[in-house]
Amino acid sequence: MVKTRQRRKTDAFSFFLLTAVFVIATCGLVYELVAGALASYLLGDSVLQFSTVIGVYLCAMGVGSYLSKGLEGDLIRWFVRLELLVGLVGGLSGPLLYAAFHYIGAFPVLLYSLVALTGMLVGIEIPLLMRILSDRFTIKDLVSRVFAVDYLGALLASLLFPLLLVPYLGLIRTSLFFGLINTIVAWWILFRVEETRHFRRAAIRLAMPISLLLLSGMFFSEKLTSWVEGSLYQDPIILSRSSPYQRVVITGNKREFKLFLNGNLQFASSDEYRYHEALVHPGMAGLAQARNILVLGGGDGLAVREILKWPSVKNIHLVDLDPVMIDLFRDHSFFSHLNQGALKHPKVTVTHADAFQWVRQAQEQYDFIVIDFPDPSNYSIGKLYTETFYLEVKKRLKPNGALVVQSTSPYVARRSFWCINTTLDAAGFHTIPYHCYVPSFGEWGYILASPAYNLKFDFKLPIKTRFLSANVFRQMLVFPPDMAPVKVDVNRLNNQALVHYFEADWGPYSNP
Amino acid sequence: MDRRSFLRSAFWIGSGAWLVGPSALWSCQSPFSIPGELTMPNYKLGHQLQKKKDNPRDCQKLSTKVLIIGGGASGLSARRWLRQAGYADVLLVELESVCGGNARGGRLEEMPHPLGAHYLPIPDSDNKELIRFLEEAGSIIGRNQENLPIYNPYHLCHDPMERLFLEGKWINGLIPNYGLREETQIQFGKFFALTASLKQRKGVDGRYLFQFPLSEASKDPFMTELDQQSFSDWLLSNGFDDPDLLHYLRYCCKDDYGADLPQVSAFAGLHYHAARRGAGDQVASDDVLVWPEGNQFLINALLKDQEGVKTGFLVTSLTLTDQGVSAQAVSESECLTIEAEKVIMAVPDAVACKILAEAIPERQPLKLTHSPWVITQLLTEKLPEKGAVPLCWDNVIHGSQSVGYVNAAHQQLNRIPQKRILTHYWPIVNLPQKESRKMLQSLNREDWLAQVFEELKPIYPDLAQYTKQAHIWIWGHGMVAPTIGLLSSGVLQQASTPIQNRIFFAHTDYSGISVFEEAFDQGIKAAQAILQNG
Repeated sequence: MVKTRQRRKTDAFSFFLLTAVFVIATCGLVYELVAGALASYLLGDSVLQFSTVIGVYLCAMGVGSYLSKGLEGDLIRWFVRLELLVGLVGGLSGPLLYAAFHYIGAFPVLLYSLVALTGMLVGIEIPLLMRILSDRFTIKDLVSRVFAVDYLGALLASLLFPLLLVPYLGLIRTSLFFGLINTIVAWWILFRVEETRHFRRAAIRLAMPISLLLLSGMFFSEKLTSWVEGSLYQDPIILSRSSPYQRVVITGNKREFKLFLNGNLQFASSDEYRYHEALVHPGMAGLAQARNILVLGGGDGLAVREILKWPSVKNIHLVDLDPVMIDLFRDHSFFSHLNQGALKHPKVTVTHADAFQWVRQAQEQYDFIVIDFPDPSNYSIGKLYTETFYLEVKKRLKPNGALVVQSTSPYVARRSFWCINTTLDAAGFHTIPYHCYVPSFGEWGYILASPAYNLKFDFKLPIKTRFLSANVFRQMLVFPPDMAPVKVDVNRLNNQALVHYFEADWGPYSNP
Repeated sequence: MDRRSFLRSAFWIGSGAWLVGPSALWSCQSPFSIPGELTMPNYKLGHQLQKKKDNPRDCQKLSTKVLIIGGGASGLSARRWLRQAGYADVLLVELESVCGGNARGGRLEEMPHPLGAHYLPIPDSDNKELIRFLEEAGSIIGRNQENLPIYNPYHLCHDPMERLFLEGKWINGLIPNYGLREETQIQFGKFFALTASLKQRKGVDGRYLFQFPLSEASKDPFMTELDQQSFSDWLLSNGFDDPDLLHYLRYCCKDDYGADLPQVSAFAGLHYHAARRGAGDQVASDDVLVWPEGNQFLINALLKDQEGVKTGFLVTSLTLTDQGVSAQAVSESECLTIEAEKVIMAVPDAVACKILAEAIPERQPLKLTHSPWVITQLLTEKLPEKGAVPLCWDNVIHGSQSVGYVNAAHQQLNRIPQKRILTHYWPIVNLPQKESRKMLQSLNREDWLAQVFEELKPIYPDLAQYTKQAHIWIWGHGMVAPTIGLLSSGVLQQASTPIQNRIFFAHTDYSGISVFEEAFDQGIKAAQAILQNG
């Protein structure tokens, strides 16, 4: 009787420790995946990132396994400590790496040291457990059971990670959550295993703060994310690429997806038609018979899609800085669907170049030029909104041609908007400012400009649109008093007035 | 204080390899393994050529109407003037393989960068000659309705122009603007109010007190009075003793004169702040013209054609002849005897004295102070910048011994340049000439780099990792310092007075302030003197 009880107890103990193996195997792989995903998210080249992270991790596990022989004495006590430590290091690895995003120089150092440390600690776990279990199983049984459970745990992690964890928890909370699971293993052992009694109190003093830290991390991870990112991606990230020029992030939910460049929203698929119809069609309609079109920026091909609706168009030349953008929107079926394959259209030529440099050395002249750059949030983009730039662009315009500039929000950034208008005016253009409502952006502004005052707006749109009509356009020309013109400086290379206005205008919005 | 801190840095140079070396080895790459060279222009070649004075009989004979010795800004300005006046027969001889002197620039991996002087403040409207030259150079592209020059927007320094690294943070502009004591703010305010009023002040002769070129400035006794005292004394006696203000003014003096506050005369110290009345279409008086290659741009504009320019020749001696002068020049492989009617000595005064030793043995070199400059060019990958203030054209570190570094790619219009060249400027001030010469000769690249990297560490902790090339360029004779009394004593005018209507002088040593405006004027004045006397 006594013997059976003892046996049953042993079995329960063994089953329990094997469950622990399963759980810690899952946790271990999750940490590795979190590190790999964050690394490829930030540094790009996911094949390289994943393979180096996995390599370092496995190697560190080997080191850990080797070092495990140094642990002597109360092995269960060591195991409890180890679980708490793995929970702490692995659990915090996600948030730490995320917080290190902005310090790209330090990121790889932190990444690989965390990966190595976590790997080493995880590497100690299994040999230690095997030693604890060694007097309860024959070596044959022990090895077969422990490894079977270990690999099964790995499978579970690799399935859970992409299907459930990343979409629902996100990377940070996944990491914290599994850290917590490691500590739960420790708690469980502390309360279910008799042999832990004599050090229970000491262990709890260690386990308590660690668990609380991870738990509060779970609660505040949202805050951390928004603190780190500056602007929060509300939706899960479905794709991110880092090019030498910018970080391209695409997030998505069931209804729509959004493109962010360096954290700034460029469009949302649900309402981008409003933005792009308003950008392209007033100018095209005003010119009536535009044949040669130049698009500067706008690598997403959405403006090109709108231009292609006009049968008069013979050529469209798209000049965009970033090949990563072009490749995505030309070759990735998901995105080329949105621009209806515009970038592969035979009328379209694509050049990868820096717009300022390209415009200075270009020879051709165009009927219509669409300027669709990111907002002037820094000095290098601010140069693309200067009088000097517009004077260079003017040389690329036929005498009867026109250009349109996306000009940020006249409501939020009123001075910035009118600064662009004033600058075009100083560069010798007749300007027609207008604006419309794009739900994802709010009130958005554009400026049509032509060297000769020749645009006609008694147009009927001969093309299919979802948003724009002649009537709607007439409304767009009206600026209510809260968006009315203000007196501002001309944006020049030597004053970058626009960047200063833009910072002041948008500042209160970006840091709530 | 400064002397002590200099000695400390000299100690570092000596022992840098031991002190900094091991700690630098901790980072992935130490400055030691970065490829690069150390160059000391005008020095090695000069010494080499000095030794091989050939027998005049074997020399190729050349004759010219005007010989110009020295292809820096002064010599080239004289040459331009003479050629524009119809003097085709001008021969210019330069020691280095390219002209430019202290205004030279270089190239690393196809990217231009400055090696010395690297900006020109927009000139005053009454500096007509300089404005005409800038029109030639393409830096002025027209006139507006008020007849003000319209500057080439690609040459005007783009915003943001300059920043200051103060207590671990970058701020816009060079004047500290936060955490200042009230007293500091008051003193800055007072100083700028004073210089603003001095800017407009004219002397008894109706000329501006502070003016470029100096030859056009007022000779008012007030100027002499200011010139007879040191800038530091003047500041103290006028109640300017705030350490932050003095830091800033010390930076200004080092930047323009390569000298410290006590060395520089009060007139010169104020000149930096009170002489800029530049005007133009849509520019502020403190706007400057800059080019990726530094003032090499101006040199190239002076030197539109290369006709009659011989580089790589050292003029060893000059003698007076019946018709004019005869000069001996040597290069690595040739030697020349140049007969000329007139000669312009467009070289530092000490060099001029050496060349003239035979012809005018009684001529003594002026007692001038020239601080050596050590220039470090770092070719780097895209460097991570700390904080919200982006890399500027001029980047200054508060309270440092160097005067900061220049970003050669600043005027590039690329959205994000992938490579950068940072040119770091370090004047060696407060050290006796002999000691500094000694120090420079023993200076080795690695030790110096270790010191530069140490200074830049708070800004770029991983600089070594990003640096692909690191070159050192040493200007043994940086620029003349306008020391106490130098500008008002008359010795400069005396030393540059033409000799027997044959030997003329053009060099910023004779201005007392070494800036392009002065060199340009020096050249013109010498050329005009030649033209006047036929």
